[in-house]
Amino acid sequence: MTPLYFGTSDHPLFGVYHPPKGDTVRDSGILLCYPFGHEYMRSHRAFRQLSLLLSRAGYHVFRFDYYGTGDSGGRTGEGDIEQWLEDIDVAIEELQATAGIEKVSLVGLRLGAALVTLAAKGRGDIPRVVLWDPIVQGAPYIQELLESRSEYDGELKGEASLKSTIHGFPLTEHLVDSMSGLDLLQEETGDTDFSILVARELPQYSQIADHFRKFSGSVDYEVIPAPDNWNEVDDFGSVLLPQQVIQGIVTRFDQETSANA
Amino acid sequence: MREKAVTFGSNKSLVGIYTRPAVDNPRLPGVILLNSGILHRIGASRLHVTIARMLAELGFPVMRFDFSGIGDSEPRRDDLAFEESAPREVQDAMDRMEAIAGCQEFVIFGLCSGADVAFQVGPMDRRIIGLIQLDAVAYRTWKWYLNHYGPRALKMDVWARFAGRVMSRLFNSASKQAKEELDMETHALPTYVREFPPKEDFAKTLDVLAGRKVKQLYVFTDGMYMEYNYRGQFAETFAGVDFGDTLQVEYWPDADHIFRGPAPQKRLYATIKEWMCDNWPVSGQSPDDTVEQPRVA
Repeated sequence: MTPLYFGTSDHPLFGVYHPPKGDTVRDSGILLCYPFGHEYMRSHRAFRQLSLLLSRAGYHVFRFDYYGTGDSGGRTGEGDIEQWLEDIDVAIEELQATAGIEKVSLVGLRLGAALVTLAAKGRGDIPRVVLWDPIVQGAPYIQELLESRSEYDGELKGEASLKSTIHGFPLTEHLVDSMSGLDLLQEETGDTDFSILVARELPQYSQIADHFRKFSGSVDYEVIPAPDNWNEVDDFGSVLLPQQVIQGIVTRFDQETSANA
Repeated sequence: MREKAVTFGSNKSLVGIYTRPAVDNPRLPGVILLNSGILHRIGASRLHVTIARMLAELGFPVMRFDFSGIGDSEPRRDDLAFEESAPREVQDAMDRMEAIAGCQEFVIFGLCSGADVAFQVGPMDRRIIGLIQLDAVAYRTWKWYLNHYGPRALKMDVWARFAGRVMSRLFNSASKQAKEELDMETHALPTYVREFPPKEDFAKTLDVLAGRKVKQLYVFTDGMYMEYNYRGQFAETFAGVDFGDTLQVEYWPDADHIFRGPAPQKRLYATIKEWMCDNWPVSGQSPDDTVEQPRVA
């Protein structure tokens, strides 16, 4: 495992590279894309575990923090959807260069799932996209975030760009504008294979699976009952570790046949 | 200012981010930011990142890192309990900072369990000259009881809820067990359980720190309301300790334990900046509100 900064000096991004472990070394990589704000905090442990398991399955794995999040450059609240899509492109290139590979699959959780769907469009080097409890539309997600605010979250008067904090992380007007246009049900995907893994049955999940089947080579959709209360925070920052879904993702990739032993 | 990922400790299994100051100043202490609970090194509300960059911009070398088994750091291969391993790992971080930046002295920052570790390692290592503790250990006083129960004792609905709780304990043990099982599944990892040392032991450690002139900044929030609920409680609790000019204590009832609100966040940054600059003056620079971007090192 190698923690590193990449990108440019005025736009540094932080990531962690997990090289393949074990007997099997595959000639492809997997990029993991985090969700937003407090959900990122809550999922960090799960992403680390998923990275370790996928690297043991022989993949080159990379997870990284978008600009303005985690250890990456930028003030908290600086990022937006367009910026984060550019960051995903940079992270794909970093993984390709670091590992010496061409093909990179994408795994995204919640907002990260929406981002990887958009990031895969128009690229020919993404064999599979895994959507984990995806945010399908931006507007209802913004509403969900605002409704989840605690009594301690609040507006900062005098800073017009800040709409509110959501469990300590700023949801700026700019980010709201950027997110509100998200609608995966309006997106046309390419030939990429999709796996949609969700912890519960919700109408938008099956809708997105049906919609993607119109365009994609293969769409598999599975409900794996597991904890999925990403949008919750207690005072001690408890994490969520849905082992069932993590294992489901690993199984998807384990079944790939491109192993170069 | 530049940031760099570093690994250190035995087997290089600990992961940290070193934030190099804008201007090297060997007179200034290094600052080390500790995990709070199982939150990884960026801290609740990304506080640690903002604080690291703010202090580095002023000239302080800063490192935030993950204790073993937390964040990106690997679990230890020995059987040391957290209470034993954490202080050692803080010392590992100080050694690494000394190697990277030449730091001879350190300020240790922690929130909640991080504050507990900071207070634990403070008397163990003479390189430590300052402690910043958010929601540290606190002890109830008679006035705490008065503040907590006084207003409540006059309210009928409080008594009604109390009676309801007693009845519910008698008849709802089965549903409680079911909820605990659900919580276990949801939280998956154990949350940090704090065990406060006896007050007398805490006071003795304060004596040691004060004797060494270790500067201490405490901030108590509403997250500690079950232990701390008025300005001046710390000073009253430890009235027998001669702190001299080494102690500053803040009480912010409008802030919560993880500093969700933007106003308490800004106040925290300003308070830390002012406290650091008062105790270790930064010549040739004036603290302002800017937090520069890191650069790839």
